[in-house]
Amino acid sequence: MRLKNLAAAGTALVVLTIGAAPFLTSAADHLDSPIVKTQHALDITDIYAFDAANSKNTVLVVDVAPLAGITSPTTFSTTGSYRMNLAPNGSYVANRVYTATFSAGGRDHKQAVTLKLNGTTIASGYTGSTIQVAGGGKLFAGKRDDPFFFDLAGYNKLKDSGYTDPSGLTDAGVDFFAGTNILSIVLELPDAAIGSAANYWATTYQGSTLIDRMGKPALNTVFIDPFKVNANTKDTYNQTAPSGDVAAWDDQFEAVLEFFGNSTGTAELITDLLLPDVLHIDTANLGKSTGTSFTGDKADHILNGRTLAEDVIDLELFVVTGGLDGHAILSSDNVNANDVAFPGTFPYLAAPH
Amino acid sequence: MTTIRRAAPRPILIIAAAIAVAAGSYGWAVLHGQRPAAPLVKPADSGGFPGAAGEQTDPAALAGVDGRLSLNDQITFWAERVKRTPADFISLTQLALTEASKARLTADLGLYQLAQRQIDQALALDSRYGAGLRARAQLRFALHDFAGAITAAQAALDRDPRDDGARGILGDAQLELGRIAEATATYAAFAPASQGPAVDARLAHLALVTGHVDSAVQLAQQAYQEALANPEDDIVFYAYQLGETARQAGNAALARRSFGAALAARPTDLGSLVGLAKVDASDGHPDSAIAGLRRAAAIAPQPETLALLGDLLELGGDGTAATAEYQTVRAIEALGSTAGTVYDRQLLLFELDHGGATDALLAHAQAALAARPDATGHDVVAWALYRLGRFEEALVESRFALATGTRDARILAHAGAIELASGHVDDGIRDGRAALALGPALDPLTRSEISSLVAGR
Repeated sequence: MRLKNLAAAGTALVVLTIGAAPFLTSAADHLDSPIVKTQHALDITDIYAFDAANSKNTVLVVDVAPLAGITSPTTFSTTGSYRMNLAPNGSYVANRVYTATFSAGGRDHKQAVTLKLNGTTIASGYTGSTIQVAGGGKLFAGKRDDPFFFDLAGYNKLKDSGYTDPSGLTDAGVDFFAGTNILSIVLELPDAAIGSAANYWATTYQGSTLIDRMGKPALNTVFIDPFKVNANTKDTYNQTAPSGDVAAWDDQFEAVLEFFGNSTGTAELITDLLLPDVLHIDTANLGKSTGTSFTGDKADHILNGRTLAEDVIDLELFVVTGGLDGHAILSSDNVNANDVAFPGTFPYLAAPH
Repeated sequence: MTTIRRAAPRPILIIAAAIAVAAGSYGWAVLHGQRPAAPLVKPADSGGFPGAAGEQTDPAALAGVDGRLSLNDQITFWAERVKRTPADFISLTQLALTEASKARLTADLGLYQLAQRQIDQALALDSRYGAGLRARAQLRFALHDFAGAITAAQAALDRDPRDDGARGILGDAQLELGRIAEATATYAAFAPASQGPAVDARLAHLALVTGHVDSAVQLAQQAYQEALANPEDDIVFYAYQLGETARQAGNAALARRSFGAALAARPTDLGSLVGLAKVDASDGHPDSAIAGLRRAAAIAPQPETLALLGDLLELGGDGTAATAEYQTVRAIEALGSTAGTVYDRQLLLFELDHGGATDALLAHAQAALAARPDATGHDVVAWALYRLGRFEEALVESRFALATGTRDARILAHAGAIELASGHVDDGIRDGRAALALGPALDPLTRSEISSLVAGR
């Protein structure tokens, strides 16, 4: 029984990381579908929402371009757009869309960036600099340390062994993403601009074509096409609007969770928490992103935003492998923190390597 | 026939040849990932045509596109990670793949072999690592172990039936082994989401191999246009492939334009340097052709490049310089092992056209055919039999080669000569003229030989 569950856990874990990755498997949602695989600059790796250093502000982050400078470019797409979508509490239809677009870089490699809110320009400046936002807040776009941390090789080893060899995860963890960079867009806004509660997700577009979307970490890779039957399903998932998530995907999520050893009731509970695929934000109770470890009351922060230091892999291992039913097979990859400390001040992600 | 005068081989070139010989199927390696590797661009301060002062001759030292590190720096990045965590088979695989990308640009067989050993190490750490299995197939293919490539690609597909990267290598290897129906079926299984330049380029190659020349050019053009629309596709490869397809179709103008586009983006692109030189030679610009081949040989002394360079020098009356090039080809030949495997057909054709046929050469050609029974394999055996005066047997092999539908200029030219020698005069004149009509598709030496045979009829 343990072996079966372990196998299931391994499958879940693979999915977390590999998906349909063509070449290099990356982070929570890195390179997760056939369409995004050749548009690295529009490939969303992670999104975050946390309390700013000034507690009256909230920070929204979208990271793209895994292993920027190695397998991905160090410049944002000049033909695509990056959107941070906010819907009112209880709604999954965005009423505030912050859209960042970029020009080609000049001789100094800096790109001009323009940020619009619902079509109206509210900030403009250059990558690598702090840009003031009209109405309050600030914007940063540029290369930073990848804040994600995960023992990717240990994970793959478990999966590739047919889920018989967990040694790669139970031994000393090695953070595959240590020393790697991503491109990040960091938007700090007054809490008033967000409201007391909202739902946040990010999308990227090439022209008018939706390329990628992300809310909670790794849902696409964990729950969609886990048995590699039809990679196109991953694109279909990416094309789904959050408002359509429950109707389109909740049966799929419950089936996968049950396969992984969760009871029907638990599978339904988890699915209800995960879908629609957005980060819920309760601005009064968001965690902060500082140092290298998660601080604060986890109970308040789980499913409320996502801080940089939050160990989402451990949480997902615990939940997916039956933790809520009291029999978690795995609860950690033994990589518990980022390789460098988060500064705790804008733009919050550590300087690039 | 050109006469060979023995001269001392040039040590530097020979050493270079020993360690840096190009894969005969240059360019196809780019297709062996699920998507082609990122293109390289020349740095802003290295303007000018290839060979201009200050030209960077190590393509792996050029900065990568859109801020990516140069291939050399990427290799350092992955190597440091492997050194820090030897059990990190993902980084080890990436190291090997990056080295393979460099080997593709520099035609460095030794580097391909190093990458292959590293992939084997990575798979020893995780025997079912998908990217590792796919990389193993890619490297087997690059080193012309086509049966090994098929086994490795199948292993990757067994693990993940949707792995279209592995599927591409599987089809490519089947095609190289003359298994056209199998390759066609493999290519037909690409998922809709994988459609794009990498698939169209393969279909173009398949069309060319089976003699559907117009379709081949059209598909190669389509692949190039698709690649232009995606900044992350390797424009240089698709421009090269379009040039090569157009050249083999006899379309000198399109070939020249396409090779020019490739070289504008990557002045050191080997395939395009050699391809453009062939067009130059055909268009009556031997000096430009010789200059282009010298540039290519300075990057990687491939036997075909050196033999063609020697032929052009010989035809221009510089027998001494020609002999030096031929000697280098023979030095590569003498090295045997991997270079001999990768370049077996190039080397056999060189000997048949520059030395003289022997029973040993014929046996070698027959062994090569057994290992790789495609149209070229049959053609090389046919040509060896022809050189030995065994015309009827040559005719049989020639017919096997043509049965694939190929319109390859050299195969047609050889068929024409064989048909004339075996008394099938009408067929011989038809095929000989068809070959001559293909302009830049036919090398100068073969053109000269076939012209004189057909002219007398």
